[in-house]
Amino acid sequence: MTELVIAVIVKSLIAFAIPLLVVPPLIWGERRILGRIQSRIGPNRVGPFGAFQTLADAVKLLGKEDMIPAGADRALFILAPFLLFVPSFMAWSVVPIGTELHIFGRVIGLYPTDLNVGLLYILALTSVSVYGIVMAGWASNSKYALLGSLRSSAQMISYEIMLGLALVGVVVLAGSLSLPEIVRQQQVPYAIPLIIGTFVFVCAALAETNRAPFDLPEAETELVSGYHVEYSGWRFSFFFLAEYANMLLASFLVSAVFLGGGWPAQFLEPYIGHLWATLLALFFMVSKVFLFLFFYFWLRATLPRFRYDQMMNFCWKVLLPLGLLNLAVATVLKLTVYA
Amino acid sequence: MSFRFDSLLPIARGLSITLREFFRQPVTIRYPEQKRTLSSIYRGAVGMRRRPDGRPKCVGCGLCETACPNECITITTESNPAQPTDKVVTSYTLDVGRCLFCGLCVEACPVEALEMTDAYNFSTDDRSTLIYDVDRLMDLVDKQGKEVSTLE
Repeated sequence: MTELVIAVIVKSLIAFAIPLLVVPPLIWGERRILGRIQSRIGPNRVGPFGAFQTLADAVKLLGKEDMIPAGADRALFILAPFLLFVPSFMAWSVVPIGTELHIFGRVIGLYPTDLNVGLLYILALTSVSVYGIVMAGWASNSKYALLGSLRSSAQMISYEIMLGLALVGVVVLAGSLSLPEIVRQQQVPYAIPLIIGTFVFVCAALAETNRAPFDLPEAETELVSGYHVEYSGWRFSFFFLAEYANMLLASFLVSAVFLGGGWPAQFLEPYIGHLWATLLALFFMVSKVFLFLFFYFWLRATLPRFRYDQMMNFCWKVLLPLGLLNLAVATVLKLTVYA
Repeated sequence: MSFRFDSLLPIARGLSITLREFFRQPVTIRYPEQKRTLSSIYRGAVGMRRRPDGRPKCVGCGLCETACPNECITITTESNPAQPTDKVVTSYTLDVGRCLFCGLCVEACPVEALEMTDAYNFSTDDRSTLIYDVDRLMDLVDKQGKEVSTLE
């Protein structure tokens, strides 16, 4: 019993620490990578290679005045950042970093918990963040924030459907909603049979996390933020943190669900032993996550932003048919190859 | 369908271009640590040349003062009691904060006492320190080419 409690506490701490510890270097990495792509150097002054730049920015944000606009709905205004921030951290409780580790006669799952409806849980939590956006826009008592929140919530609600639709194909093939089980089922990463679904999922994930080319909620170049335009200081930093935690979550999901997690380390187990195979699987998983994050930044440096109507057209007229096609492909595969 | 799948091809091309740029050296340099080589005809602040004996070359004619469009040169002179045809320059100041580096003073000078040096970093917290006296102006000429570029 004590062991179980300790395991749960350790796993929860790790699940909470991953987004908190990875996000600052992630922001720094994004700025460095974007800099290099634009023939610049990027932040390089604070700490070695500028690695502490994000911490300096965080301290700056914490030191700023906590502004609540006149006429704002105080309760909703204060609640909104948490409604974005909390779900993006809660979702980590089902994210698998690996499968199982057999050590000292025990079985340790390399995931906080193996929820049998893990995928549904994540989809449900990402839906909650839409309320955060609506509330932030409404409570700010600003027409810019309100219009921005309408734009963002329309985008997020639309693309959430595509996110779910792309995952249905995976659920059909794996026959399970549990994330560790989906990882275990992948003899071949689902990105190969379900290439269409992977495309739909990646597009939807980009839109869900408000990243380029779907970063209309932010639109730094022409609009300068939408729903969180009235937020400053540490309240703003919560939106920022939530956005990057969601990005990281999307990368972990893509790696686990479509890229096979630690694949192909499990085939090496007979040759190098269980422990090394598990460590190798962890390494592959993390590499996939970081490669996908690099892809995120790479896309941001390459693609211009969609116009609003183009974005909606792309969602309903392209991704929806593709998602349905993906479901059909998955069903056929389930009845033939995966039977 | 409003989406053309052949539009994915240019996206791939764009991605390859950005990836190529990622692996290239940045154009930007880390400025205070690294400096670029200046052009050999770079025109920075105006400096004062020396005579062989070390005194400023200026004869106090005041032509540069007249030529300066921003009135940043101020010369005061007095007559030389030993040789009344000569002037003695008692002070020569140039306000670098007002100078626009046009070089008209250099062209106006009949004795080639002035020259455009390669000095460009004058940043300071106090504008009054930007009024250079003749010693600092001669210093600019002396120091030319001493700041070695760290690039190349």
